[in-house]
Amino acid sequence: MRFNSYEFLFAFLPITFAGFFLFGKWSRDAAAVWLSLSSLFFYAYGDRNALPLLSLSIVCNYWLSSKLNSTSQRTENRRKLLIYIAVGSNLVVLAIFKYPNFIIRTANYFLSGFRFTNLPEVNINLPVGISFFTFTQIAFLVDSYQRKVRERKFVHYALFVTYFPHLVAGPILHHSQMMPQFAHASTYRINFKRIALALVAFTIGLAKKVILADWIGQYSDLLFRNLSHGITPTLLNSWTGSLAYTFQIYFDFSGYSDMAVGLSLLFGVVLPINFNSPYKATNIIDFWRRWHITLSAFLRDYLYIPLGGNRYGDVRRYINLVITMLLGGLWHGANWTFVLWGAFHGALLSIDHGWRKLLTNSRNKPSRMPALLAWPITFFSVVFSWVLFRSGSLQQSGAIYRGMLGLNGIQLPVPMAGRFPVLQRFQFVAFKGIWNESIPVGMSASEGFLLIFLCLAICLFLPNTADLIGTDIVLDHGDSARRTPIFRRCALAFGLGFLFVITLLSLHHATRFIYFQF
Amino acid sequence: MRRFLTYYCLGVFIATFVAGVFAVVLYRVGEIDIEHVIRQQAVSDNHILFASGINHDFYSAKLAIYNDIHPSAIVIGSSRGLEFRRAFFKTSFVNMGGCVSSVAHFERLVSDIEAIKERPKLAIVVLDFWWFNEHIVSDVSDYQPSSFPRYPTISLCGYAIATMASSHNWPSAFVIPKDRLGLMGVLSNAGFDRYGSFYYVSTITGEIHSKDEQFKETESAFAKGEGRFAPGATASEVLIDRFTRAAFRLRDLGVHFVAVMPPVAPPITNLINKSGRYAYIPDLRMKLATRGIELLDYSDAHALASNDLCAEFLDGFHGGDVIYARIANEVAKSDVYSAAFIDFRYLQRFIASNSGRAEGDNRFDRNHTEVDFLKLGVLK
Repeated sequence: MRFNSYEFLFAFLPITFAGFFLFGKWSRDAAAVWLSLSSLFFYAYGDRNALPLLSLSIVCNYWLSSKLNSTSQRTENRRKLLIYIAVGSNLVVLAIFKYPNFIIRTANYFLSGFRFTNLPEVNINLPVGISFFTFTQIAFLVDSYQRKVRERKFVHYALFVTYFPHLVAGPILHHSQMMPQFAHASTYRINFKRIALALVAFTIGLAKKVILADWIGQYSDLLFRNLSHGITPTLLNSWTGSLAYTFQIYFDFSGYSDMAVGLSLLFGVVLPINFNSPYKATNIIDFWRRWHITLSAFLRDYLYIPLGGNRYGDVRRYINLVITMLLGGLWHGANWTFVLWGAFHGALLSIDHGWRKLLTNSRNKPSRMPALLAWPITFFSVVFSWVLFRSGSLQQSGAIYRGMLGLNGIQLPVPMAGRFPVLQRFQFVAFKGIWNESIPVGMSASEGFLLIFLCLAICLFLPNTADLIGTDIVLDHGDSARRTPIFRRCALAFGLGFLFVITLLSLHHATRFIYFQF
Repeated sequence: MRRFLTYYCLGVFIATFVAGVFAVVLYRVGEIDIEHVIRQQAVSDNHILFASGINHDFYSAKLAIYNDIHPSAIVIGSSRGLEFRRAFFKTSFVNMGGCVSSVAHFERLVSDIEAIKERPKLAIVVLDFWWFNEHIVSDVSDYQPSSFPRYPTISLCGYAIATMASSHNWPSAFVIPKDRLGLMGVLSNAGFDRYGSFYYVSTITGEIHSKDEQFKETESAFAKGEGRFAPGATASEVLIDRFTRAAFRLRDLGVHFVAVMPPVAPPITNLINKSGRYAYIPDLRMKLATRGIELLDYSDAHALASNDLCAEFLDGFHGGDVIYARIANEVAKSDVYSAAFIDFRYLQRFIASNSGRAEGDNRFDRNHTEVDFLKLGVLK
């Protein structure tokens, strides 16, 4: 089930909400069980076949965590063995569902020179959200091993894993953020302040997805669809498509995260903020502190630091960064494009850390790069990286990079030939329309450009969701929203109510969230 | 916070009210729920013209008409097939023109016909030569038709406002005449009849100014070599193969099909022939023939009559119903199977009494008569 669907908004959500607080009056455990079962229904509605896997995963991991949490000293070696088995088995299950065809394709590629018959690809459906629920449970297992887990009631654990606002596409939650909230009595009582904040976050998230992401996404889809039909991308359509995807993925994923935060607040549970205006970042380190914050935190705590972090010198630090980001890329998807995307970001992070080191150590300290220069370098590096992320293959990425660099020529609108006859002298300029006449009815090149500028302006100049609902919410259950003048508050409330209806009227063409595939 | 919630609900309420008003207007004017439109056209005994001002993808609307009538004969094609009339046929008929403007559309329609139990016995497939031009790249992808809306959406409301704003006649959208439906039907007095044929009432009666007087606009597009007039040396093998496969699938479903190529206006034909830049058109005929598809080629209007037929065109691309009556007449002569479906006698009378006019079927004309809207200097 999708958040941006009528069945979710008008059937699942009201029933789940009403049931949760009705049960909550009678028994907290009953309310938690209700929410957990509702979440399983939410999950099964979209992918019934994956339900046994999710259920088995919860039961097994809870049992393993109980063993790991054992306080007996004589079982220390057994605990060590057990944590390797527990984490390993989770990764194996993830690999079985997510990576077999990636391995087969890679093997076929390398073995093709040795006259081996190509191995056939296997037909496995990737269970929705497997990467997310595997990671959250690995964190729980590791913390159980390190005896950091305080709250470990099974009902709360099951709810923590299955909790529908985050189950299929994150944010990647940490048990220490969530399970204590499930144990808290106030969670089970209706809180109007949180409901108001929930409506703000949910409405903004829904609008980001339904209005902005789906609209601008048409232009990135056009580039990649043309590419898969063998149409060579040229300068302007490569840039339009790449920039469109840059904003599509931001509004799509941050929209989903905002909706998750809002939905969770309806149930009195505070989720961490996952995005903090990432396209305002002026360096790549800053970008990763603002983009998919919960994944960055997970990779830092459970991969980068265990690998050694920055404790063994600069070279080791850069290697660790590249390994962490490379695996982070592979986590996203089973394709070399994701691996390269991760490696690219690892390299950028290493360069950024190296640059900072240079600034710190240099006797003749070079002046800090001005934001006017630092921002475009960061932004366009990210745009370049999204090409890899979106492409189905390295060949596709290569074709788009060639287009972006102008190596495939430039196509301009037909009327420009008359207006600027001098351009006709250049071999690399053609007048076939920016999209080579392949643009569907209802879309136009000028609309694409305007949308890109609109989205850029929204990203750079408007407050983000966290700003609107008050960053305090992250720290103390959101009970201290920022004080704003009454008029502004009422205007905001009225505008958001209006926006909510507008987004509802746009749901008929709403698409799947991009991160559902991971 | 209760104040915040109150204002939020107020915003929801007012937006819902505005959307509700739009819903009622759009429903009444026929822009929502195509089945409702079809029912009204059926009840009126084919006295209502319908043209959406918002949904320019006719595919789902035409499929809904098909499902309502389950015709024995259909015409498949682009807007250049829209002037085949119900009266040309002895059997039940639906004009599916306007929903197939590329090979991908044709494939999609064949798949949809395959999924329907009641299939037609005859399909006249009206081909446009540019479908097969390998330089027109829009035809390579799979086609996903947009569905006709059942409830108001924000884009629908936006398009409705834009359509009304662009028309000097916008107040009539609120006072809907009994014989028109759809924003375009109401605002510009043109549209589809119950059987899917199109009537260019406002154009032929001179209510609106023709953009293609003396075919100047089409000649200009030709000179630029844009879009449908993109030159080409050879017809695309890939697209011809795809078309052939789909056509044979249609035949395997028990549907007899006839492929026809309608004419463009004679001055445009002359330009094409003189330019020598469209070698892909004769190449297309040859390649279709080698694949076993006989093309009834009327791309040159002289194949239909020896006299000058310019006055029977609506513009440089589109012939009127008299031209299509001539085509139906020729099809009946050339294809024995089709003759059983086509009302040969009616066509003879229709052509004889309307020769030199663009639209002989004037049932929707509201007392206006056809004028020399193309400024060709002819009497109508």
